[in-house]
Amino acid sequence: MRTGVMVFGILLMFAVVTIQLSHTGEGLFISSVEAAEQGNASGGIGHVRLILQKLQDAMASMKDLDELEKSGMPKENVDRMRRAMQLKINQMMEDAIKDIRAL
Amino acid sequence: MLVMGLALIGASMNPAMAGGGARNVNFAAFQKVDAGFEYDAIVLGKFSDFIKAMDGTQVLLLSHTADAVDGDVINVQQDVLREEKGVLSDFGINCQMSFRDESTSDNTSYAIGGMCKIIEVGHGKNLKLTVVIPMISVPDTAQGIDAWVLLDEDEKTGIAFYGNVSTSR
Repeated sequence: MRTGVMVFGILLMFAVVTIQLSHTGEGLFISSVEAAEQGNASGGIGHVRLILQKLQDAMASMKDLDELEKSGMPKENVDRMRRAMQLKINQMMEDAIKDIRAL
Repeated sequence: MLVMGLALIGASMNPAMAGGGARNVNFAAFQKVDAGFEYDAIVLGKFSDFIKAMDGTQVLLLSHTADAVDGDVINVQQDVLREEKGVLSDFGINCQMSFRDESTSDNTSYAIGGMCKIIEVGHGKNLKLTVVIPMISVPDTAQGIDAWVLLDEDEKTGIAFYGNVSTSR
């Protein structure tokens, strides 16, 4: 639940940044430096989109682990895999937040 | 495509080390390109023999995790994310595998199992298929057994997974 709330927060941050960056290009004077930065930011936005997609996939994997347990894999093994996946998700969230802040 | 698997070693997660010792975990995924190709349950020989035996398939993933110990969770992701005209596509395989050392005082024994997600999203496809791989004992090349064992095969996609363990020379 807490992970889901954090991911929602990340998605909200990303949406705000995307809107701000797209607004900058609407009829306002942009210096060559700002234009170059916006170009980089567009690449950065693409990168963040990919990270967020993988983050959502990783979270969906947590449910797949339930299926693994139902299939007969020892609970001890599955619990270990759950903890490992949660660590991975936390790491990906930190990366996503870092990249969004860099935009 | 050689991918270094990331062994998530958590001291807080693991039970005490079993007697077999650390092993390198080798994991591979293939997909049929020749519809008539059949995967063998066990493929004998060294790595070059193994790859030769897979003629009729394409390699999707090769992973070598060095010095894995009992309880390690091995996370391997080999997929390509591509953005074209605002649409995101994703093709490849993501696996989470559990490695267990089941050795006794009399002999060494290792097993791997877990799940792999086959992803084919984009270009008109929308497939995210989870393949559950039960814990399976795998050959230990350190015991002089040069072999790869078939862990699982998905008939729908023609994808199969193989594994064994080895030691560094």
